[in-house]
Amino acid sequence: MMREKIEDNLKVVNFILIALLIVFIAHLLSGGKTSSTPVETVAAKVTAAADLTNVTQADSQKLKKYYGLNANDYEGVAFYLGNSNMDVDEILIVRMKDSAQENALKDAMQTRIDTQTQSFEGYGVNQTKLLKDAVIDVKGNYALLVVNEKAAEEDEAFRKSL
Amino acid sequence: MDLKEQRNKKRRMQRRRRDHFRRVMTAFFIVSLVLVTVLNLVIPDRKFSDQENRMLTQKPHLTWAGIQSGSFMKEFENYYADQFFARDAWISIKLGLERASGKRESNGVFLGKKGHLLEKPNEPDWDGVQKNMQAVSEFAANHSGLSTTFCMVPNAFSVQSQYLPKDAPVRSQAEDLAKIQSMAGDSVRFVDLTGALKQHASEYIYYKTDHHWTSLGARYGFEALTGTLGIDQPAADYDVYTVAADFQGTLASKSGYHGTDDTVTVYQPKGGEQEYIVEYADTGVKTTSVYSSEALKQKDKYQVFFGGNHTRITISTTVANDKNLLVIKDSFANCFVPFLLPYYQTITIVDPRYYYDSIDTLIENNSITDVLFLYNANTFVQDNSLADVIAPSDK
Amino acid sequence: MIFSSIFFLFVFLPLTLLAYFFVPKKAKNVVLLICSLIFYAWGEPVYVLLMVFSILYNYISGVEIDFYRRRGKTAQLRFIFWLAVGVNLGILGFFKYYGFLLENLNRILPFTIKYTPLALPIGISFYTFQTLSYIIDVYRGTVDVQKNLINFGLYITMFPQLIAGPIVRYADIEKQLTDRKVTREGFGQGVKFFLKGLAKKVLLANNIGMAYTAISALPADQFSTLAAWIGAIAYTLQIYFDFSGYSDMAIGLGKMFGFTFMMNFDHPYISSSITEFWRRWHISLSTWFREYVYIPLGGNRVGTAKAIRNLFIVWILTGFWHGAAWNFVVWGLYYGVLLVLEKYVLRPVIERLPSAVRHLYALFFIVIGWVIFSAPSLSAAARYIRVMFGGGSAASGSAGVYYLYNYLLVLVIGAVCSGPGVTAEMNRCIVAKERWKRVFVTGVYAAAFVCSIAFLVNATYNPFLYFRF
Repeated sequence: MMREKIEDNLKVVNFILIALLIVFIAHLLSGGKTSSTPVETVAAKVTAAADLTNVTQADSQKLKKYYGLNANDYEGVAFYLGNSNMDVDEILIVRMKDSAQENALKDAMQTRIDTQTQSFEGYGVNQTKLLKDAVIDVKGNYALLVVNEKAAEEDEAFRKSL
Repeated sequence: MDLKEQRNKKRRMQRRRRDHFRRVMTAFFIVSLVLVTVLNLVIPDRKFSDQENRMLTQKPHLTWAGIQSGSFMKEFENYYADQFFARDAWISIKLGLERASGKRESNGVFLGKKGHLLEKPNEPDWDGVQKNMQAVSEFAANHSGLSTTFCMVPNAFSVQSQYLPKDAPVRSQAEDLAKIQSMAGDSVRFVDLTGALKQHASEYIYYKTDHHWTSLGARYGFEALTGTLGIDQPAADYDVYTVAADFQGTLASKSGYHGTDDTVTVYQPKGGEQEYIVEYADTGVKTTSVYSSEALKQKDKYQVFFGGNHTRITISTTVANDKNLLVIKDSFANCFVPFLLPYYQTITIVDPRYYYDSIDTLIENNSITDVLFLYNANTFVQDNSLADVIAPSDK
Repeated sequence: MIFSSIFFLFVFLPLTLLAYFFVPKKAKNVVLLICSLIFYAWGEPVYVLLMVFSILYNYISGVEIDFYRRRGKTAQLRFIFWLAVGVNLGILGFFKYYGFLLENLNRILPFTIKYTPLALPIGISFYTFQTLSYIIDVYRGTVDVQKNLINFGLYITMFPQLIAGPIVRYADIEKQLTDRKVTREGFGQGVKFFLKGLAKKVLLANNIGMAYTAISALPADQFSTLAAWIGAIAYTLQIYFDFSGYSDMAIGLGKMFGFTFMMNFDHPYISSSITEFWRRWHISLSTWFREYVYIPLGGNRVGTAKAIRNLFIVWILTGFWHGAAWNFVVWGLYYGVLLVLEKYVLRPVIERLPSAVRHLYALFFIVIGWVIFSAPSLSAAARYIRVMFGGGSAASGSAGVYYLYNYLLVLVIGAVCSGPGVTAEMNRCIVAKERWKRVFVTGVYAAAFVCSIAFLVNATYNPFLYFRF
């Protein structure tokens, strides 16, 4: 009798585990939770972790120019570009409207990094290093690109801010 | 009976030898692991690798986000491989083995004959080329008051094909250039230097370890261009100064083969030094020389010309002929521009890969009279920055 | 994490060995389990949760199945068993084929279903098959249930065979989980296997692979028939050294911790028929399919028509197991057809052929098989094969000659090493009477290690083919 009870309990555990698996997969599919934090807040948190000496905020025209992206296609965009064109420092935070935008956005970010790398490879060793350490991170409806000395810290601030 | 005993004895001996071998393997492996790990811990990290011409990965910071995304782990692995003790020696062993196995290329670089390293041809991005050439031709049409020249420099694999490894598969750059020329249209004067440089194919017109042309190559290029540029009396004689004899360029870094040294020379027209001021827009520095002696202490000695690539450089000379040249270029122009100094009042140099501002404004503000596009073909076929920069700014 | 990396060799492995040999016997399995989870999490920080789920879920299912089986409660037994099979296959199917399925659905449906592509958890094809072997064997009553969660977890995650096999059946390793011994000799044998595998992967597979990569990237006007053949042969050698090298490393690492895994490759390219090839290639996978699919379906004892059906089921599944793309399905079918033909039609003919011809026959179809396998798509495979038979736009052209110069030596070394002769000779040297032979063979292993490190330190090119599966 005792044994049977244990087995019954095991059955419960069995189903709880399956339920957890379904939650896990659903979580993966949703690409993480959608955050309702406004892009300004995220940008503030990220830039607080950054070394901002080499960047200034840039407008959507620049975004169009260097990424081929329309700021209006997205819920919100924060874009910081290197002061001088020899500064590869760059921060781009995008809040997406839906997850279907994710791949195109990631591709655009990667292309930007690749282009920049091509321009500086063999000439600017510092720039090449920063570009190599660049972070492209997507969490839920937010995407981040950082080229900065403190890219890892900014990525952490980004993830925390959502 | 004897035979059986003998066989057993043989088997025992074999087993003993096998066991001995295995114990040796154990000892060898454990000692290797311990030794390597300790050496890696003890030997201090390096910041920069001269041999590879790049910054080495430093110890990454441990962050939760980094662990979650896996970037910390990747960084750490890169860090460990980059800071592996005697990294340069290990790389040499690898290259030695590859070479011994008969490989004639390394990391996209042909290991050619007589110590020549040659860049592998890039696969042209024809859409991008088309876009760039259309932009160039529209640019020339929109600025019909300016004299616009487009000069294409061929690469070593095309001009000095005698140095390529036997049967190396290279595309015909001459054909590609003809195709590009056909895209240029009539509004621009297109100059393909292939013919001019091929006449000197046996001379030292390309570096052996770098993808650029030498100053001698640039000189031949300049001489072929004078007619198109409208330079009436070009200098006929130059003083040649060797500024570095131990240059190992980008191709050496890329391929890892550091067997040969290159010589960097500087050409100065005979008969008096010219005075001018060079202003770098990105750093704000003003100097009186296009040469940077700083660069000679660095690994990349090609940077002796202007100290490398810049967004915008303005050179004001003492020539008062109201000819103001705008050079839109890649790094091949760095050693070429010095040849132009005696013939223009100002020369403004823009590298579209790093230049983001309006070209039209630049033309206006500097009273530009002549425009020269100067690119090397292998870079140009993959360039995607030119069209955006020279497009009319109101778009 | 992969074995052929500097980080694994000089950080993970020393620390794991240190921890493993310093803790008392009782704690060894815990240490190995923890290290294995770290090993997995290192490359898959999120999916390690999936791994933990698999361990817990299959552990509990095993206990349940065993209980119901003993009690004779058939209905509940069947329910739990099929649920477990369904969940395991469901996870594998979902992560591996979900993108493929939707992509193909989108192609035929009038509307588009949006989906987020997921990364494939490393090793999922391998460890799912391992758990299934356990669940099925417990259900059949051929193995005892594992009541110790640590031991069970270790069976699933053991890092040597975690990400690329061999697919170890629970029955084969049950005893070793609790009762195994590491001697200096056993460890040394492991080192020998490991170094051999490392050299195969790093020195042979990676270098030969470069020939294939370079050739398959040639533009059409330089892609000559000769180049196509060199590329195909290079890939044939690359995938063998890559995969068997990895298996050797796994076997060697297992030995260092006292485990004995089954041999996974037995010089497949000396086969003189396709049937023989599959007895020698990826043996643990073929064994698995035979044991858990082919024989349960009735094998070949059910009349010709059904036996042929069974063969095709197995081969389509084998193809599909290798990846979610149509060319893998076709590749599986291709072998299904060849094997049926050999079994029912060609055997008497083949047996009468001289052995050189038989060998060539087998190699020819193996090479063509790898072309189908390696191509990015079916149409690309068709294009490649057309060029191999003279149908390209550059029937001549110097690219082939150039790559032959570049890679001839490694290709020849590869071809020689793919036969059994080299290993046999080395093993003879180990026990040879002459001292210099024994010193020589030790030197060969040491040199192989040094050269492998040299290539790994500058690992610009270190892909691992079987990660995709």
